[in-house]
This record gives sequence, C-alpha cells and structure tokens, in this order.
Amino acid sequence: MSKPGSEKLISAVAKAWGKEIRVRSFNDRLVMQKGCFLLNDMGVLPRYKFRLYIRGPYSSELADDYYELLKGNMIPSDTDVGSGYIEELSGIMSKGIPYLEAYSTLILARGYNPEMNASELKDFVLKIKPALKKEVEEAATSPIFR
Amino acid sequence: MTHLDTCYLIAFIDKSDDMHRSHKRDIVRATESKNKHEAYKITMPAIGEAFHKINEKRNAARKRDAFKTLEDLLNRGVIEVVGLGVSRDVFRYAREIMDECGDEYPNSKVTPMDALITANAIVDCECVKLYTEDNTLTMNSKLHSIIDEARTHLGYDKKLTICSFEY
Repeated sequence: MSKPGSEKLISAVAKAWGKEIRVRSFNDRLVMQKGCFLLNDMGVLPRYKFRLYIRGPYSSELADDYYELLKGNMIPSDTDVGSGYIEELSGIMSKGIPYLEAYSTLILARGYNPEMNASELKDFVLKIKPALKKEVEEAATSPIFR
Repeated sequence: MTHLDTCYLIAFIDKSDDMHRSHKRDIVRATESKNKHEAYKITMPAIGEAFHKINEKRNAARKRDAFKTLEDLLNRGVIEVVGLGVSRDVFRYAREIMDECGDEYPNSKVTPMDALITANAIVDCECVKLYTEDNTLTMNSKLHSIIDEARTHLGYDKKLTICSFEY
C-alpha cells in the first residue's frame, strides 16, 4: 500500500517536469526520484527515506509507490502541492537530467555534512560524481548552497 | 566487481528481513536474473556479522533457511565469498578508517565491522563498487578521502565507489 498523499507528490513532480512520465523509462524514473527528493527537501510531504545510489538520491519505498501508482502510465492529475514549490522544482529540472542529479546529490550530501561550506561540499560531490563535473560546479553556485 | 555490505547479504538470504521486503524488486532481479555477468563478492566479516544478526532473531527455521539460501546463491554464482586480501593492508586501512571516522566523530560514526568490510573492498584491486545501505558511509567525506588516498597509495587505477544497491 502506498503512503498517504504519495499521489499528490508524484503528480507535483509530473507537473513540474511538464512531460509525460513513463515508469518503464529509466530517465523518467530518475526524474521522479530526484523530483520527490527535492520536494521533500523543500518540506513537501509525504517524506521518504533517500539513500545515495549510483545516480544520486533514491528511495526504494518511493519506487514501490510509483510503480503502484503509475501502473499503465496512469499519472494522477490532481495535486495540492503549492505552485511555488512546483515552479522552483521546474526551474531546477529545466536545466536537464545531469544537472538535476548533481543538484540533488549536493542537497543529500549537505544533509549529512552540515559543517561543510559550499566549496567543501562541491569538492566532496565531485569525488562521488566526477563524470558530472560541469553540472556539480554549476549547481554548487546556486544560492541555496551559499 | 562489486562487494556487498552485511545489510545486503542479510536482505539476500533472509526473506523475512525488513530490507528484503523494502528492496524486493531489486533483490529478485539481482538474484534471479539470467543475464547477470558477475557474482557479488562477500567477505567473511560480512558473513559473520550477517549470521550474528540473523541469530538475534531466534527463529530456528529462519536460520536454517538463511544457510540454505546462501548455499543456493553460491551454487548459482550469484554471490562469491572472497578472503582477506593482503591482511596487513586490510587491518591497516581498517585502523585508519577507525582513527578518522570512528565512534568519537558523531557525524561520521563508522563501526569496526564497517571499517573491515570497507578495507577489504579497498585492497581488492578489481573492486569498483561497495554496496551499502548506510548513509553514514556513502555520505562520509573523510571515508571517501581515505579510500581515494589508499587506492592511489596501492597503485590501483580503478576508483572505488560506495553507494546503495540497485539492479
């Protein structure tokens, strides 16, 4: 059984992404994971436990929920998540999937290393994600990390 | 080549484990896939810790089932047991990890068993991934630095990544 309110969160990510999300597509699942992670970080519920995977933050519990909810590509159309959150997420997503991965990994790393300044955080995430050097460097300049 | 931390070994062999349930999709795909190329490596410290934890559940049938499943996974080549590499190096790096990331560092608390399992992965020159569920390891900047420096010192050209399991 999925978490209460999960469909609203998933719908909010779909709305921010602005395109069809297909559960069979790896990239679309990646967008869903990072999108929900960032909405959780902004304080939007329900909250999932995320861990660092090869492609950044991932929650297996969330995966169960969207596999259940997106059966047959049925994307819920209704959400009560505030438009401000959706616009903020949409702005991050508009920079592309690699940027989304870099940005969300920086957020996850910051949560576990609150003592780090922006430069230390960037250096740490570059160790984890050397292939995303450009995106990590760009994401680390975001005001949220200053 | 990928090493598995204890939590995943337990999830692989104990169907009643919480993580087996929460990661069922990935675990079934990893253990049942006919296209799998390479066995997951587990070390004796991980096996010891896994059975110690399974024993705490005090269910005889569950303990027997875990052995049976482990044997089945070994027979099918899904997992492979590897010994301590160069033991002197393993313990040296385990000690270094404890010195830098042990109990006295609240934000990066690494247990001796974590240190041993990580050190085993470090000295295995073929190992490129250590799968662990523990964010205090995956998000531990000191640990990442120790790993990178150790690998450079050992003259290995392959990078070792610590992250959570997905298949």
